[in-house]
Amino acid sequence: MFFVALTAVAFTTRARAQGAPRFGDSTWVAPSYCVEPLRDDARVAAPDHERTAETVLRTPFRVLFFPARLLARGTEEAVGFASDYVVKPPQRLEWLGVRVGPAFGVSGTSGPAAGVSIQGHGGLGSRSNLVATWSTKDTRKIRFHAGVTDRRMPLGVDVNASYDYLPNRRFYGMGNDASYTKTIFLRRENAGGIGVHFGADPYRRVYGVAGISDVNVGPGYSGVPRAQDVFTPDEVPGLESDTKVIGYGLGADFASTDSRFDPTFGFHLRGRVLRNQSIDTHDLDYYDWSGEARAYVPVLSRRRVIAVRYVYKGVGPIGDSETIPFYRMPTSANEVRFAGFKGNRFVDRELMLAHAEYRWIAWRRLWADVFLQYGEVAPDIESFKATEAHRSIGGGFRMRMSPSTSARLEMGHGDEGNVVYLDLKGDF
Amino acid sequence: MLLVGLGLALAAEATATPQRGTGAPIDSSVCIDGDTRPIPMPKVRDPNLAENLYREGLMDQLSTALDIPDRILWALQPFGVTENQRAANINKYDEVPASSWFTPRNHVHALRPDQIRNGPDGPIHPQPPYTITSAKRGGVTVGWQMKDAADHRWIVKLDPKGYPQLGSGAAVVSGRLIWAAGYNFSQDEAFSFTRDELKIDDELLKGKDGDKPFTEELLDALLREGATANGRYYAAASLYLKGKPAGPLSFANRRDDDPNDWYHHKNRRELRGLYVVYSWVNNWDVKDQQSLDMFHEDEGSKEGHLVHNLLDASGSLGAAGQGPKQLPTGYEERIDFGWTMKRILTLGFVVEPWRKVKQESGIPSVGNFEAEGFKPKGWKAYQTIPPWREMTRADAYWGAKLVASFTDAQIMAAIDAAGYEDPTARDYLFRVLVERRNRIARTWFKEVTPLDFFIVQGNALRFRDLAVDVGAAKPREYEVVTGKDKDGIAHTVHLTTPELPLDEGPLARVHNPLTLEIRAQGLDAKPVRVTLAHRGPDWAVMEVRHE
Repeated sequence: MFFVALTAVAFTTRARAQGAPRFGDSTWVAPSYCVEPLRDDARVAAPDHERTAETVLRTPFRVLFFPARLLARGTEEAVGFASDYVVKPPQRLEWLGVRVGPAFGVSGTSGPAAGVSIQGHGGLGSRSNLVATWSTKDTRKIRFHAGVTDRRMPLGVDVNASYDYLPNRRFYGMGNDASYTKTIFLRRENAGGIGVHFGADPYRRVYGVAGISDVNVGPGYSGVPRAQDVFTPDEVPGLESDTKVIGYGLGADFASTDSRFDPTFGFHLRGRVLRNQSIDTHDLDYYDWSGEARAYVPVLSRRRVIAVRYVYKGVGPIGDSETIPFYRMPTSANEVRFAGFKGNRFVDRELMLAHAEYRWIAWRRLWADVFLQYGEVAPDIESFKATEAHRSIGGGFRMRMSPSTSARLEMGHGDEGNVVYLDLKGDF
Repeated sequence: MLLVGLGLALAAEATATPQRGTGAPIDSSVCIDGDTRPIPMPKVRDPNLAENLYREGLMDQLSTALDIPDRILWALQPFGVTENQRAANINKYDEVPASSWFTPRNHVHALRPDQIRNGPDGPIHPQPPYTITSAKRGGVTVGWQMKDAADHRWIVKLDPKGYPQLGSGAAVVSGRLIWAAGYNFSQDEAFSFTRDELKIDDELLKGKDGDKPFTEELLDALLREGATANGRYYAAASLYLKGKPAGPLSFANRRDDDPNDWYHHKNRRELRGLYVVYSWVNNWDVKDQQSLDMFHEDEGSKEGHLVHNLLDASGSLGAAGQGPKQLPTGYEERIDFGWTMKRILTLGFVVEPWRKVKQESGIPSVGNFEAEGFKPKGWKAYQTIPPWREMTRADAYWGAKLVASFTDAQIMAAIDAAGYEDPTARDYLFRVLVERRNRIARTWFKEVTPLDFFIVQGNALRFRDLAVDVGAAKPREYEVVTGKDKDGIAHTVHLTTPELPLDEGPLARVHNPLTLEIRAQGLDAKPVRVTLAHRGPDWAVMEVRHE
């Protein structure tokens, strides 16, 4: 036998020689009654098995839950497969500084989507990524971003390009009291831009941007009714007209918080103004601005926070600009979604959103939250009426994924019912 | 991908079963479990880490929570039903026999402090100069494989930046204690070196096995991630184990291709009791990958047997891979549904136990480690391995027996093996480990009647009261209830010392074999059941059972 087994004879002899040592003493030697095995391969017990009665008890449940068990085993194998071939890419690609992987997405209007993600890393903090997805409802998206930025460098450059093809973009009509009739339209946008920022900290930064946006609209599919069949161009400006604009402007972020990832104390101010002008047969010339203020106050501890946020967005014509098309106006979606209402539910030239939430740590970096929100859209600032704001209450979970992204899985309740949504675009 | 996974799962289900239980005699009185019959080298296991973490960290928790039969068994406990099955590999005396998994050590024969200091293969220590032979794969810490001047091969893990001797100290101290408790454990050493003492193997420098070249620049980059002090780098070195690697053991399943491996791992007492040992040293990073099966070839043969080793305790005491352990570690699992729900439902106002105690030692080489908040029954590793879900009180008692067997001097010897340069680290760890040991003894020796090591000497049955022996209880009396005698009467005998005369009073009249139920006074635990029988003219202990 390979092990230095302390045999029975030795124990007994020594124990008797030393009288009765105490267990846990330095002289402890256990008295033993073990017998030397008759053969080297004698086993102490036969192979074990489940108790018969337990097997009888468990069998019906095993049959009942067999599909669940198979599914669980399948997900386990799938996780292993994914970690081997997706998270850890083939080495030759890594050598080229490129990581290729799958990309997935899901949304209520687009359905599940899948595609490819390609990430590249270079020196000086430069990196690029391209994500292309195609959904079951024919939504197609391509996003490209390349940037040179580094926390040690105050200056950085970003280049963006995107292609969006949305055959069933939701539209409910214009204004704060738009009907609850959902329509769809086709929105296709090609866009590109460049940004230069000054400031290594993304939350204390001034930046300039310039870009081009080409939007085509048309009758949608993958859903009914179509917006063009319900509304007229008089009711909805730009319902049947494509526009191409260039835009340029400035923006800034200034934050004083105790943490960039999960702030619990401090404030954050953000603003941006762009001027957009037609470069096609149209005569568009308008401002597009947004301003936001956030504040954080801990509740007796840094693991409990009251966070508030106020956002104001708007577009405004300059001089003799023709009417701004509806698809270039602020919309209650993404980071300004009205939580108790469907995405893109409200559209108008101006939008305000006030949001207050109490959030607390549920698990590691996962926060739970409950919130109260008021949101409203209006054609101009004078038309906002506090009594007409749409109220949402709700709660859910939030996890900061990166300096620029918070994932939020929440349920909001408003006048039109409950909405569950997953937001991966905001950073609040 | 899910379909691929389903297919693979089905294929795994269909794998042929091993030839177990054939040919070997069964003898429940042995103290050596003969699981070293020659077998061909089994397949090398290469379990996927992500899959393991997902299964044991998440799916097993869900599965346990939804296990209706478990709830039924639990509800039937008042009727004598036990929720968990008794451990499979225990002998008649309620002990784990020596095997390729475990060798009874300190709890049956106290090791000398120098034996603990030297470790399983020691005394041995890395000798400069060192030649790096391979890069380290996997894990979060930086390291490599190397050969030293004495031609010994080591796997090296650098201590995290800013914390010299944190991971290496934990690896050595915990490793020594786990080995001395009886488990097969690697010889780990804490050492320091200068850059000049490192050399890169020529082939590695060029790039071997299709890997990138391991250049001097890469080495410098790795060293920048490590802990330094006085121009020296600090690391843990783990001596290559003997034999051929066959991959990590599985805490969940037996090896299909090893006929010696015939008890379900969840039913092996040494794996169940490992919970208590790991709770002592706070070895929170437990998973298949922290173990390694080695194939030992028999002399002159290609056949041999597996030896099952535990590895790498650098994530123990107050340490983690990248610095001091996080404060919840040891108190909460990686995904802890219970505490997560409590926090959600209380709007974050619940105060978790790990917030109530000061865990920060303030000593870089110790990290976050304490005894004040340590509750032996509530300790949690990062994930619960299957044997721990099946652990019974008797298994935990057995684990506590391993832990309680350590003397203060032995604990200090394990600490000394790490060679802490900061004397406060040595004293701090000693205090904490002693207190945690005492808490384990006090807790588990109350759950089970801690009477053990029964032996007939002369005409008396003698035994040890482990709680009294280790100072966890004051000397006390015992109550013995015998089996029925010839007249159908059970007798009760009171003892003032742990010694029962067998040839006096009613015992002289009882049946052979003689069954006894022994309780310790003032202890609300099930009695120990002892069976004696005549072997010739003398009584002999035939069976001991703790419940």
